[in-house]
Amino acid sequence: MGRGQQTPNPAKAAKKALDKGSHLNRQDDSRRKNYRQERLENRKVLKNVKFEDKNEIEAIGDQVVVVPKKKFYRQRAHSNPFSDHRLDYPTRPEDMDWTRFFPQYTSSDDKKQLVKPVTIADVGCGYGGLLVQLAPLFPDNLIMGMEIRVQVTEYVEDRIFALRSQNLDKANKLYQNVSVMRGNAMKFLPNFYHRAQLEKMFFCFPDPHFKNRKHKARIITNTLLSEYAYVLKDGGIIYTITDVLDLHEWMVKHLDYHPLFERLTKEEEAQDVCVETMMNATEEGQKVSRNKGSKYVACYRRLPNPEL
Amino acid sequence: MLKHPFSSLVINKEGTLLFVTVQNNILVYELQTKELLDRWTDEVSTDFVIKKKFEKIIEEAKKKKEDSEKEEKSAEESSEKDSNAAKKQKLNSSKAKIPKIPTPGPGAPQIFNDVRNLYLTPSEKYLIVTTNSDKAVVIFKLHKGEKSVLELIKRQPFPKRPCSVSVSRDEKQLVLGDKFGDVYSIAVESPIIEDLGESNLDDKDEAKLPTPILGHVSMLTNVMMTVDNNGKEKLITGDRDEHIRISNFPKSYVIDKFCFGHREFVSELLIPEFDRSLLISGGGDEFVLTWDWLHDDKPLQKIDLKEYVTPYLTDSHLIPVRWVKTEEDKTRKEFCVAKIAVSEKTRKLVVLPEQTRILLVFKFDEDRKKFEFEKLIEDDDTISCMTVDSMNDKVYYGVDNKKDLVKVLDLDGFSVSKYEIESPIEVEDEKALYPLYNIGQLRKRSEH
Repeated sequence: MGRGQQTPNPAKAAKKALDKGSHLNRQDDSRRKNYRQERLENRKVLKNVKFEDKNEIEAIGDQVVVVPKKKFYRQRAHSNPFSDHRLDYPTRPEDMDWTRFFPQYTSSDDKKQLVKPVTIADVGCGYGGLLVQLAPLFPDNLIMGMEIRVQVTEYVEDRIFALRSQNLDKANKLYQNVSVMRGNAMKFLPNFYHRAQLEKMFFCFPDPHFKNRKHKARIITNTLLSEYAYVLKDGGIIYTITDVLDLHEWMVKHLDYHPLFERLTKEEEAQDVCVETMMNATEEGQKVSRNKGSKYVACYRRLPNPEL
Repeated sequence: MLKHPFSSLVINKEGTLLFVTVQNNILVYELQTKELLDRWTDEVSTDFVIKKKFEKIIEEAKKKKEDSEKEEKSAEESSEKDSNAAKKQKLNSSKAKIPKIPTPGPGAPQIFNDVRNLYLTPSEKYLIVTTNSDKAVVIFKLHKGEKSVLELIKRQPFPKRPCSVSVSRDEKQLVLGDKFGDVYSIAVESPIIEDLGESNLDDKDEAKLPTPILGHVSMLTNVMMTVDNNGKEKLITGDRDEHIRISNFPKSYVIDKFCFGHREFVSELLIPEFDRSLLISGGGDEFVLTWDWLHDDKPLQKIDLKEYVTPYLTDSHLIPVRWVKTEEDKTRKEFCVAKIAVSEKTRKLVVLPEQTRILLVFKFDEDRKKFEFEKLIEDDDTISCMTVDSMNDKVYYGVDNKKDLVKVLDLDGFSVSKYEIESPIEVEDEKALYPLYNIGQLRKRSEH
């Protein structure tokens, strides 16, 4: 990933957080920071742990296996996809080191390669509710979540590590096939995935960007769909769900208009296990259910390229 | 009086006309006689857009006020009993202020109405520029051999700043990339779309804008139409992230490939006539890349510029103070590629690093399909712009010394001579100069 645009030195950040913590001990802010700092230290160890390396996990202690608390990772729900974030992304897909994310699937011949590529992407995965549901549903696929907010990504990372370590003893070694990274999918998706690499892409409860002038920041647009079509294989499926009718209509309009996508029929949707999961798995989805809101689903199949 | 240095140069294929942009002007010279044939000045002021927007708002506010005053009167006349409501209304209408056209405060950065993106279409039927004042594309029909060369046929403002233009093979469609990453295709000679430039995307004016034919989520720095070896049209787009995307045209929703290799913004894209399978690109990186763009998404050659350019970097290449974070940053210098051009006959590549006084010349080795370093040309003054006259194998470059304007480099023998040319564009002092070096600003910097 040789981009040299990493987040600030973690040791420094830790010191800063601790210094601040001693002065403002009772404040929630520093508690959250300390909590996340502790988790960060663990994460450094856990990142490369395969399920054979049980000892390393035990060394960290009991806390690891506990699913992280969301309240320590809250971040405002919006991020400007146009801003120049400090992001870590490969110059080209070949340069991507996926083994950091799926150590279990590292190829025995080439330690920088996986035995198989990622084929399912959850774009804007939020707190990872869908990811952890998909993991056991698609044990043969590698599933990658992408989230633009730093702290939310950290939460999902911790959540996955916790789930992985909880399942180390079990025969099925769950959650090794799911991971998360911080990134801006609207800008850099083709830096990560080759042409026709993906089988499924999920867009669950994306930021509605209500103002007209913000519509270009929406994650489903005519122009971005061409990029999604590029990374999807023929027959691959885009899943969208939202509780905002206006956004749903927008997504349907743009997907209908795009010549490379065709909507799934109601029957096909009903038969697709992903639709059911998407309705109920995500944190947003559960919130909508609690508030008795409506959920709108639209799924589209990638059509082959036309004759040029 | 100081002569204003030129900000861009273009020479036609026959080597007879020299087009220049300087401030808000286009100048056209006869290349050999140096006679100034034509001049076009952008008369639109920089506050045009905001004025027009506020005129509309003010008009609406006035109308509203009048209406409410009328209502008030009628209300007073009809029902004296309902005095409470009348009072309330009176209060409302007196509150309704008429907004003023905002004027920039003392600290506001100056806005320039310079002319940018001088583009001569392949058939040389049209000359196209973009304006900074009203964010428009301006299209001229060219009348070669006549006294007045430029005939303005269209000025189309856009809601977002156009950053790069190109035309389809038949030169009927204009392809334009804007600051927000969208590419539009509009007919070159169709009537203009009224009020498009002032359309405020807050309301329903979105409909006026044609649907973008493709888009990046990044500022577009270059759009280029070209043709592949099967005669199919392709659209190559470069952005402020590191992407070069190749899409089909007109089915631009089918992406052909991405050319991955840049680590900073891409601003220059060029396909030489002598080898149409070669794409040359440059921008914020300290190298220029070449690509076998028809067959591969990996660079063919990385032409490193750093060793040549480093000795010529000045304090102007230091990173902005705001972004200095470490001791090392204080002395770190950055440069970018301002312009790349080729001389078709002798197959030479000329590179201008921004705000330096050098030109780098590379020679094409046909067998290896690679460029090799040939010559570093050093001038006494900073070079503001350059172009190649392929017909005569010469490089014309603008010099930034406020008295000489242009010099000529003969690529055969590398002799440099003054090109004495009269320019009507003069300024009182340094303060009145327009900025000449804008490309480095595209570099991304971020804290989060």
